Amino acid sequence: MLEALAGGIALFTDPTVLLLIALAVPVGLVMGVLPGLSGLSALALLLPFVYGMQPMPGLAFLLAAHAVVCTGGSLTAIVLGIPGAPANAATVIDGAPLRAQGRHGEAIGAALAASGLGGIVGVVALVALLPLLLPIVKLFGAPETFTLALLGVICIAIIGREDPLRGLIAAALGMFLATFGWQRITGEPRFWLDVDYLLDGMRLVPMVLGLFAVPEVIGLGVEAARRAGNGHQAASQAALRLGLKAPFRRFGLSLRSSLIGVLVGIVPGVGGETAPFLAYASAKKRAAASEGFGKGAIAGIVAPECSNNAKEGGALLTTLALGLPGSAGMAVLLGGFLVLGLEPGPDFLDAHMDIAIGLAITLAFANLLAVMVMIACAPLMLRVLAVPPHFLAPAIMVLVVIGTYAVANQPYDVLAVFLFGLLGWFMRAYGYSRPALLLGFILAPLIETYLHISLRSHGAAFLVQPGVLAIAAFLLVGLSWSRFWALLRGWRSGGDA
Amino acid sequence: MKLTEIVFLLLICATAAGLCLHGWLVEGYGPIVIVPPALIALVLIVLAAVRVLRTLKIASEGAERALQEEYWQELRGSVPALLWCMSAAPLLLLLGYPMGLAVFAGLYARVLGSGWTGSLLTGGLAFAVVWFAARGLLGVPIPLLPGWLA
Repeated sequence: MLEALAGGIALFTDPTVLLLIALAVPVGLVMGVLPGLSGLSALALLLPFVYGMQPMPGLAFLLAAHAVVCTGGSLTAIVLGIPGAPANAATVIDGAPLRAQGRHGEAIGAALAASGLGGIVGVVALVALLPLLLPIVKLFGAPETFTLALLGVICIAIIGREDPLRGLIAAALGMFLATFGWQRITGEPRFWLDVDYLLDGMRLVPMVLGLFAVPEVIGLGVEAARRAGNGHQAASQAALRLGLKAPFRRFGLSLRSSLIGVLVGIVPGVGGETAPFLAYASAKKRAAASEGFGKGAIAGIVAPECSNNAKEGGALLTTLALGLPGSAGMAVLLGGFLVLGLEPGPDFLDAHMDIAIGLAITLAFANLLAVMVMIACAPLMLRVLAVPPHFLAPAIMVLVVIGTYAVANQPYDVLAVFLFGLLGWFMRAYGYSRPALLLGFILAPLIETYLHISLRSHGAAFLVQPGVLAIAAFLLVGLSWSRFWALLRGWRSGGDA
Repeated sequence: MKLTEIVFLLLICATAAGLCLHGWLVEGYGPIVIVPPALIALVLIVLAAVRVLRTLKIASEGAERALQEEYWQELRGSVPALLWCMSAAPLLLLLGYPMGLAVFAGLYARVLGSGWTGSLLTGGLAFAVVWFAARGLLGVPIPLLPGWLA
């Protein structure tokens, strides 16, 4: 473990990695500040740039940009009253009244400090839990890996925000799309229809950009008129400084909210939007009425902002250890694993513990850097808010086309990005889970390969192996936990009555 | 409104089934090659059938009908923006990457409410990004000629 720690520190302190993190943090912050663009868009737009990079610099670049989106988004939530990123939605509840009272500087300061603190707590939890998971994942053979990947896809499709049936259809579609091209076991081409482009299968970058970035561009087009006329006010440095102390004055609340974020992040597929609302509800429940939650309470900023940054630590844990993303952003990050030649899944932690540690340090460093950048550049970031959508939408579309073409200089990739854009637009409008489709696409080759190996080595009896049954039981309990909890509460309240 | 989703589901199921049948009957794929996608296609068809039946059955019910209406409104409201985004593809084919993207960016900015000056600047910026940044600085071999001339 100490060897991995030293390896992780060495990977992180590589000048290329530090430079890429320094580049990615402002990109992620701007993406967070701009309403309508999420961390998913940031990851999707940056994905083509990691081609050809070494694994650590590439993953650090993606992770740093994704991790700080919520930090940037808090500014928009407070100043404009609309969440910069979906995970900042809970910040609006007290952010908007604070702005109306002219206390937006203090609120921004509190949000930034809470984001930094939450990010650090998330990383501490990640580093503490990684070594505990290592001996478990070392026990995983082909049957366990197959079960974990298959049931993981199903869980994520079902648990997500959308209708479970639509989630499952999206996951199945993603898995089917992954079957195009060379079959990994026999080497035979599949579904290529005499089109050479299809021999290598569906490409990940056009798929990610099409599914996640193109619908955002379309959404920006729809939103163009809605944002007209939104003014913004400058925040004084004194008010910012006052706000920066707020999470430390409420350390218990900050810690509790961060731990809620970590726990929600660990559960695969629950989604980043849940943690801030849970933390907000918990803070409100424990607070005195004089705190004035919903009417401009600083604690109402601290709680969601701590949790939405802390959840990335938890989400990264299951992503690295099991190959199951804890959030939609982590599903795209898993795509980054494939682009960089790494296979996600239980084997990753065993083979690349140093990269896992390096990524944890990256997460902490990116969060701290983001807070510093935001404090130094708050007035500049407020100007970013004024960038009109009628400029942003075409500009992002140009970047999408160029980014797609630059990866393999393949015109068919550009065509594919439009087709996937059409699919992504429809899925977004009708509530089909796009992360479930992507995860199905990423994990399908793994599922197919390990199913083949399991059948060859154990026959159908692999399904009743203790490890397989344990994983199935664990995921089944996870799936039915909310119902069990509701039943328990109903029983308790019935008992009280 | 429900018809749009049903058509979408039918389309993906027909494609999946068609590809599997083509692979099995025409290409003669072996079991190792065809069984996994066929299983996935089967699951996809069953799930889609349940979704279609549910859509048909509950489309008349209050809450679900309101939700479907919401989806439909969102879908319909974003059609113009979708068509404008998709217009980049024929423009790339007709005018090539630098000019096609510049014309697309300028026109789209204009349609979204930018003034003529802003639109021309947006188009010019798109051209500069393709020509100088992507082609010049990053060395991406972006085709300069339109697709129909290349």
